[in-house]
Amino acid sequence: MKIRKAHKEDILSILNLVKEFTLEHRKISKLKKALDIEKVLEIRKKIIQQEIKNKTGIIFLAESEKKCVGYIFAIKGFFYDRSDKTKVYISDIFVEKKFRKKGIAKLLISNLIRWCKKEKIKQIFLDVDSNNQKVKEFYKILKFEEISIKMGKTLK
Amino acid sequence: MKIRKAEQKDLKEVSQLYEKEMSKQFKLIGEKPLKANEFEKRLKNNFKKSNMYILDIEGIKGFIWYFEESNEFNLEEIFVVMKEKGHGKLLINFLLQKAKKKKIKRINLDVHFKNKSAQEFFRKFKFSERTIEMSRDLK
Repeated sequence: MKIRKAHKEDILSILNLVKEFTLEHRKISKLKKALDIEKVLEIRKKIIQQEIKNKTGIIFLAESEKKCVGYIFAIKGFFYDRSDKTKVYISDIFVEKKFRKKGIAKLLISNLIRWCKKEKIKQIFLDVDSNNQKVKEFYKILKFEEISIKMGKTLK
Repeated sequence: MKIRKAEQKDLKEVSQLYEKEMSKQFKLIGEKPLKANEFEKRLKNNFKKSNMYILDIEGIKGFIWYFEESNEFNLEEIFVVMKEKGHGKLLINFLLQKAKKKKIKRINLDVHFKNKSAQEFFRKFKFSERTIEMSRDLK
């Protein structure tokens, strides 16, 4: 297993993983009205390419026998305050089913943390589905703390 | 009584009220809100790209601030000076009306993890939990 920074040339492998990540996430969060997956990938491709080009985003890939089996995608700044470069938000983290329970996600996060320290970032954020106890526990072990609850109301 | 658009000249007073009111709320959960001058800076930076309204009852008695983005409202801040008078409800209903007029599909907001009374308040208006935000400080 090798963890490395992603380059421009990795975009297709990344998009494959983004697709799996998105589909699995939809299943878990029981999203009913979701955009067409190809459209989502198109949008995500643009975002990822732009973030990497501007060096405002970073992707680490987990590689097994030259095949990408997991990734972490994080962006600098925070919601409406993209200018706050002391913060990083983990947008995606995903490991293929076959390669789970091997500590790969932890490795991806520790690589990200190392990068963050070099970039003088002070705080890392992420979102967890509120009913996903298992994932919450995972991050607590990695010294993440709960800070806020995102609530929403869908209108008819 | 009216709910009116905030003007640049209101922002200083709004920020002072914010610090005063939020300090009370945050004290209960052992946290501190932004300082008035920091909050004012955020308001000024976002004045043109977001929506800020004031509950005006012979003076500023409440404030609501939200962003509109791709058919959704993101509520950034809401507070009232005197809680027990139902002023929070007035502001939320105002927001819901705005959303209806603009055919908004969803309203999102963040509540501090420990602030159970605020979570309760929003549940009353049929807001439900979606995700939990977690963070880790780096040394």
